[in-house]
Amino acid sequence: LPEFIAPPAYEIARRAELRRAYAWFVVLKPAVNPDEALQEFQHELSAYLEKPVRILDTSELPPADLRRQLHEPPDDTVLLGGLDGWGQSSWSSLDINRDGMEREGPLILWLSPTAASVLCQSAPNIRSFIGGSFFLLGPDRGIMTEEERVCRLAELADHYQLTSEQVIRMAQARTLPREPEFIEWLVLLGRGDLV
Amino acid sequence: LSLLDEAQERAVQLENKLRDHVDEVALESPTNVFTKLRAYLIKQSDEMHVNNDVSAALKMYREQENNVLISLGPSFDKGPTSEHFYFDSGARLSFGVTLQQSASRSSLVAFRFHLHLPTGRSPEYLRFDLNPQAHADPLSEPRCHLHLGLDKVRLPLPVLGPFEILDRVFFVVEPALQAHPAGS
Repeated sequence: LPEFIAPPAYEIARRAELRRAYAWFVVLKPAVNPDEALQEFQHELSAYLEKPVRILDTSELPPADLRRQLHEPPDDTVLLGGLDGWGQSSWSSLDINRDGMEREGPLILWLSPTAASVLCQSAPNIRSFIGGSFFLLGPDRGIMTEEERVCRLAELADHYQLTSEQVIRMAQARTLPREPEFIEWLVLLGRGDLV
Repeated sequence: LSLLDEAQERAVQLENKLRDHVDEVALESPTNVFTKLRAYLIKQSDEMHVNNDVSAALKMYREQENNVLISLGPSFDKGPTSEHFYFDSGARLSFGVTLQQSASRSSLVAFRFHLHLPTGRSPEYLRFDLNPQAHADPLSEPRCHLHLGLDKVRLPLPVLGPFEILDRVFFVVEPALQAHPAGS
């Protein structure tokens, strides 16, 4: 296997947007919650490409049907899943017919590291077509860290010269000012029950 | 009734209509809204000369009651920061949107969009606010309002979603700022 970079989903989506036609990628799915990650990745791709993205599960799909479905339509973005159970013979068979899988829209193979290794060993044509576009799905930098949450709370406390305890008491007494920042304060404190 | 009483009564009626409208605004799940906001801002930034690290500046925080905060930049604009979104005109944007998730959808709880205009501009800023609840005096403080550079002056707005506000900022305000530079 080549060395991977681990961009977050939106960076992979941007690459797909830039390359668009005839682009093939391999994205290594995370070990934890892979199904949830696939759904989020699909949304991320759709947001950037501004088009629906199709998930195609190949686990019970004969190769002929796979080729047909890849071309119906040929120009959308397809996330190809269900490939983890494929052995060397399946990959070799697909490799011989790689030209039949060429399509205008981006094709993203959603694989476990083991399946990616089997692909590299058994499907040299596909491996060559993918080139360096192997990615680990990296963490999303958009999730607020604990340090950022604490900083934001300190910013609110400093601006209003109030403590978080006072804000909670005011919310309980229904005397909290109506500015949006106070709602953000409660959410950051985990007191959405007072919103 | 005095003219002021009538004005207050009209403001209450307007606020009641607005309340119904807020309830009708249904957005996608907070995660999808966040993803689309990030894509929107990155694509807008790609069209500009100025660089913005949108993926570092845009943050999402989810708490256990299914309330989600999506924020960009500081809570209060007290000068330029690296977390603001900058425009070629010199304007800068910060915002916070609070959503409440219900099944696969979400509703608006509150928002603030603060667009600080370039130096030398009047007004100094535009701020779009949605408060979480109606105020007792909706004439002076409508729930959804626009500040035109004066903290205590709040003009009523229809309820806009986050993308509708950004559309006005990017496609109406910013082009106008670039077309008519300060002092021209």
